[in-house]
Amino acid sequence: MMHPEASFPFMVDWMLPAVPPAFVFLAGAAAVALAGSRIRLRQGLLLAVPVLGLLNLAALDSDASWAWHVLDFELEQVRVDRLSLLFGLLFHVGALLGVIYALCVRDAPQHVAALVYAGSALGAVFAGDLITLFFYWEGMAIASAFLVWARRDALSYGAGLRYLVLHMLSGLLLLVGALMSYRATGDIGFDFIGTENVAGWLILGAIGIKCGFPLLHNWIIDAYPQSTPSGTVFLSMFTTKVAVYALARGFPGTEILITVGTIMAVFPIFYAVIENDLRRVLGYSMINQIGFMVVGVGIGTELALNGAVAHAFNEVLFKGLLFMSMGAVLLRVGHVLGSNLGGLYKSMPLTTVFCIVGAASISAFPLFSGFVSKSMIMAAMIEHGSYWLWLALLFASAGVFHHAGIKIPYFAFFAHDSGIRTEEAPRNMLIAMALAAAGCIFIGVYPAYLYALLPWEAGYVPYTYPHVIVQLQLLLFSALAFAWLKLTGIYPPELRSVNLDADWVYRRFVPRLAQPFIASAGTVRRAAAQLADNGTATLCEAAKTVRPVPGAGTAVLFVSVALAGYLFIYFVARG
Amino acid sequence: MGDFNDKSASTAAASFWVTRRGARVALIMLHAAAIAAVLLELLMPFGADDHAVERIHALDFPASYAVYGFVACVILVLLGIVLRRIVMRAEDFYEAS
Repeated sequence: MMHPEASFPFMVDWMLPAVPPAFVFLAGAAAVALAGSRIRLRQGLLLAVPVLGLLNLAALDSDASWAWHVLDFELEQVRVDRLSLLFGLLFHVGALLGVIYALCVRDAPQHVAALVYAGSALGAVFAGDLITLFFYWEGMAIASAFLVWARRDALSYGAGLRYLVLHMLSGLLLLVGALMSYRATGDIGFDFIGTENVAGWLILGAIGIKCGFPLLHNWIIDAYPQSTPSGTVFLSMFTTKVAVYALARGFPGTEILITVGTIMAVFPIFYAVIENDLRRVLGYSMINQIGFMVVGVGIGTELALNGAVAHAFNEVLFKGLLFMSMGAVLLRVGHVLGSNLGGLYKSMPLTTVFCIVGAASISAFPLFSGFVSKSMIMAAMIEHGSYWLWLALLFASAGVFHHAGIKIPYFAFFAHDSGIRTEEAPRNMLIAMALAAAGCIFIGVYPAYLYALLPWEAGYVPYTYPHVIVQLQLLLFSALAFAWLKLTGIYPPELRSVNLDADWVYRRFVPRLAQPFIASAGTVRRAAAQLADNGTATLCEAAKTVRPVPGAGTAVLFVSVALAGYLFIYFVARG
Repeated sequence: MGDFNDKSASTAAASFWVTRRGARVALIMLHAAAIAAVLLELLMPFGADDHAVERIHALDFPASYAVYGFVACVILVLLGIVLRRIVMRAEDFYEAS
């Protein structure tokens, strides 16, 4: 049962009415756009938006209603309960860290896109109905695509297009599913959906794309590494977490998700071992971590659901931190290729330390945040009795330490002297990383503060003697395996390459298959264009012979206004 | 961790960056910590109740997580090497087309 109190301990009454959380960010985005090139003003606004947002969030009243009638639907702009509040808080914290990290960015469109993106994510988690969810779902897709394009090169342009197409498909599935569900039940509310009917499966498909389900996952690997340093930090925080939220809201206890999540947790670690682009390695590890959350939702017990959302909370911090550290390397060095990096700890000591904190957190080292949330899912899995899948998850836990915990810091900052001499990350980036690192350690040391915010009533004690010892054994012997494989030369070297994944189907196979059709379509198009050109020319010649009619423009305008008025009256009368 | 596998590193670079000695110290510490984690379990075994949540029958023997973690990572890397043979292409594979 979800916690009956739809509020957090820190919530207060400011004597001012709160507004829907998304509106603060969307208004902030408009203000930042108007600030234009006045960099100080823009930076002030950027910092003010999440802070004002947090104050607004603290004043959110669970009884307040922002319902509006659109056509036949009654839409609920804000639904306040413990689940939406937890993600609301998370996205404010994430957005604050993100804007601090992005303060040194001179590119205003990136700032605007980031705020619209964060605002849309907030709108999605507070949406009380599927139509409002769809609206913000699409807002996230479009705003985040601009973050992918922000690097403004050919690679990011292509990746952004592929990203947008997939996310539009996700939106389409959500809309069709929502309308089918409305037709069947007469209810558009966003509550438990399940997979009883086709509508449920369509909505699950929509969420599956955003979540990175197996074979639908490639947009994460494709798009995230193509964005700017700060763009990727924002991208890593919102889309997939909104998807986890939507799963926890609409599909708790859906058994198939246990298998899907386990596959997500296991297969990316093999790719991560051989991947050279370190931000792409983080992309794979992101799928791996979301896999754990999907498993938690699939199990559907209170402990498992709490574990899933707690892990989502922690992942925003530690994955954001890891992307920040790699972003700093990208900014200073110009690339994040494991094959060409090494020895950077000397130039960037603080970034190195922050990266190691993120690595320890994602690996679930005791006293770091991952430890206190991932173990809830593992414990729930044991209770559920899926032993083989539990063993697979344990394998994935060892694997994530291997690639994200060791590989990322090792190849970037240690390994060998790559000859690169650079300087430490800018101060604002260091502050953002320090805050995220402090958050990871704080939650790891004092998990009770996070547990107090969790939506469901399930207690869990992470720090028991056996739990700490077995986790240390698992991680330390994984590290030992890495060291020995490296010493014996068995560990695969970092190579500049691309690894084929599911995106091969739509980037190579289908285009090759469609080549003859595209070629013949081109011929047809050229012929049609020729015909149209000739036709237009003939028409123009004919038009010259016709005498102009006085007042024709006014008549056209009048007809247009009359038509628009007719349409308006028609819709009003129907609604 | 350090430059313990890069035999081609020049002496000058090795003295400036992570030294072989530093790497050796890191390795010794890693081994010591790993052994300590196993010894702690052997010397102070978990109570019968503690096994209920975190252990399943297949892993209910001393140092089982250590064995599992080590074997898992070796298998992971070996399968990764096989996977690379199948999926690795030139860096400009998609752009070239």
